[in-house]
Amino acid sequence: MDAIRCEVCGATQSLPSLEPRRRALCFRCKSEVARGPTLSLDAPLALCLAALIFWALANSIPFITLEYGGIIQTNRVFTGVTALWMDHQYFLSVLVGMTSIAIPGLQLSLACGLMLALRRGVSGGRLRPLSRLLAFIAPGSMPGVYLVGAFVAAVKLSQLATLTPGPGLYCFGAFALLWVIGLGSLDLEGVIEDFRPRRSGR
Amino acid sequence: MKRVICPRCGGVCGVPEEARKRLLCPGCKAPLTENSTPQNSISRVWALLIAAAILYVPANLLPIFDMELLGRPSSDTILGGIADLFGSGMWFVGAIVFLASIVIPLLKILGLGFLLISTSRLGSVQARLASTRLYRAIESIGPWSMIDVFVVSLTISLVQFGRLASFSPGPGAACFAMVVILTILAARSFDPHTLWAIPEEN
Repeated sequence: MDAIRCEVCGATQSLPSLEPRRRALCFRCKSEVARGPTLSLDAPLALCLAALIFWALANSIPFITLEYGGIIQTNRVFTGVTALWMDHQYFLSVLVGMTSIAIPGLQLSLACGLMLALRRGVSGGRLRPLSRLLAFIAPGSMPGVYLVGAFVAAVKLSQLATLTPGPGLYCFGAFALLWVIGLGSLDLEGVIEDFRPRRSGR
Repeated sequence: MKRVICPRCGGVCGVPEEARKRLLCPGCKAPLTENSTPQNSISRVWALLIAAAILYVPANLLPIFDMELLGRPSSDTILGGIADLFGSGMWFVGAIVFLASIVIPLLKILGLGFLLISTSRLGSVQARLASTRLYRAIESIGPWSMIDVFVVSLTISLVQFGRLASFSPGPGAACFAMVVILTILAARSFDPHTLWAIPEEN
């Protein structure tokens, strides 16, 4: 039995030993306080690596092709960021670039690196700064929201011009989906604690 | 000295009675959040929330798009864009944008305001549970209001037709992006401990 403090309401409680894939809720405010130990990092690591590959593809091949009055224009994901920058909208440009491309990529690379290191037997304590950095940047990562934004923009513009989704769009969709499945339910801060050899006397 | 339990490792830490700074657990270096005083958190959330509420007005009144179609200049506010979508029969997309751009920011501002006002008056466990649930909901829907910012960025990058048409983001777009960021920061600054700080009525 371990003593644990609920991060939401602050109630201190004893934590029974949990089976893998089970989670414990706070007795008072019903928020999640702990998860069962992660036995294998194979599945989340595979999903994150796959997401990273699709992330790289989505950024390098055509995203949407647009045809209007004989003009054909091919766009990449990054075109939105550069167009805003050219328009002197630096704040919006940086915001869009960070939340749609940079932070998700950084997040996935960090998560992959962390899991690889854990599997190679690096102790959780030494990886803690990385996991804290991951938790800090997590709210700035919104690939799913970006995908819905792309859908709305495409529908709006379809009245005006002919839009053809490029292979990059499908890659971005795959990336967003794998990101949600791979990282969405992964509590790396908790995983790191599980991999640390337990000290006695606490 | 008083003793607190580290939320991460469960170790008992002695902390000074009147600690003003954020303290870290000596064992695992996790922040002992109890020492970020609830009063601090409440005034910070109020500040961010009031700034967001003020910016919500220009975000909705000023145009988020300035466009020129075949030489005719026009502009579009958030509500105008939604009305266009509904007008041309695209109910589904219109509803997504309406939810993401109008309803969610408003719900977040009102919901957090309600939580801040009600923290000191919560008596029953049911009321606190409901408030905790409201807080978790507000925290998780945050990023979805970014949809319109992404739509602006994608639209201006897709539509670069030289003289035929040109789009550029209006002043409302930056205000709206600020509203989204400020409400996300406000939700993250809110310390849910305050909902459970006063002893329960029994």
